[in-house]
Amino acid sequence: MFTLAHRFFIDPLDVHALWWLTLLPIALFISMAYKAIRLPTMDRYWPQVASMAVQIVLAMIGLAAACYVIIELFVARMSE
Amino acid sequence: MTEHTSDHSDEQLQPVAGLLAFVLPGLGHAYLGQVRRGIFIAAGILGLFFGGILVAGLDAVDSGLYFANRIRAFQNKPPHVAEGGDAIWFAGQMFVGPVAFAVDAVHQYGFKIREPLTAGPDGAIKFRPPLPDEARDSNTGQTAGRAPGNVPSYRRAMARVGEVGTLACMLAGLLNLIAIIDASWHRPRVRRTAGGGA
Repeated sequence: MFTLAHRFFIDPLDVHALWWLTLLPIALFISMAYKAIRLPTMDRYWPQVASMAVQIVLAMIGLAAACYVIIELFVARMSE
Repeated sequence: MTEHTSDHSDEQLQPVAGLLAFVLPGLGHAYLGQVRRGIFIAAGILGLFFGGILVAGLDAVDSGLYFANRIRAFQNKPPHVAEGGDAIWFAGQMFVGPVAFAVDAVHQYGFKIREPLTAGPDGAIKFRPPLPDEARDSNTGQTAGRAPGNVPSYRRAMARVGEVGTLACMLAGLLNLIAIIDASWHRPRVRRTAGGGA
């Protein structure tokens, strides 16, 4: 993934095969910031953060599945 | 703990909190007495911003010298030329505040290769990313030549890795814009007491 000569925060990570995994921390950080701003009370902060992060990830999976169906099935049939 | 309520009648303009929220994510809410909320805002936004830089490297933040050239135009100096800039993305990233401008300045002036275009101390300079086998002279900032084995000052992010890193940094800026707006129109500051606090 990276060598000893890798310079963190200067060079990009060599995660081209696993780039989609970066969506998980992105969803978590987005949820942390958004819920911290919007929640009326901080009592149920972490459960709300987890709920929103899961919703984002599931929505991404749904969008990916929808794109797959459109491109692999409908577009492929249209080109036949 | 100071909390939001559904009653917005006592909210008013909080310019100091809005300014502080721009200076550092979360600082505006901390100023308003909501320290815990401010810490979580800072953790989310800065985590997203530096996470993007971790993934895509310095290349994730590149204003293309947009603001530097606006200042130079005001001073009647010729504009610098920046190669590989992403001014559109930086339009969102800049709302992270001085942190984003500092990272961009380090990228432009500390890592890009300088090529003087016009003579003189105020002359225009071309700033460009180094080629994969091109070394950079750390004193002048100019190229130290291309040769196999040379280590560039930084490597450019490619494909999905570059896109994800740049996008994460921009999302951090847009989230902080929400935080700035929220802190700017808020209930008055609540001072911490001996028995309470944020």
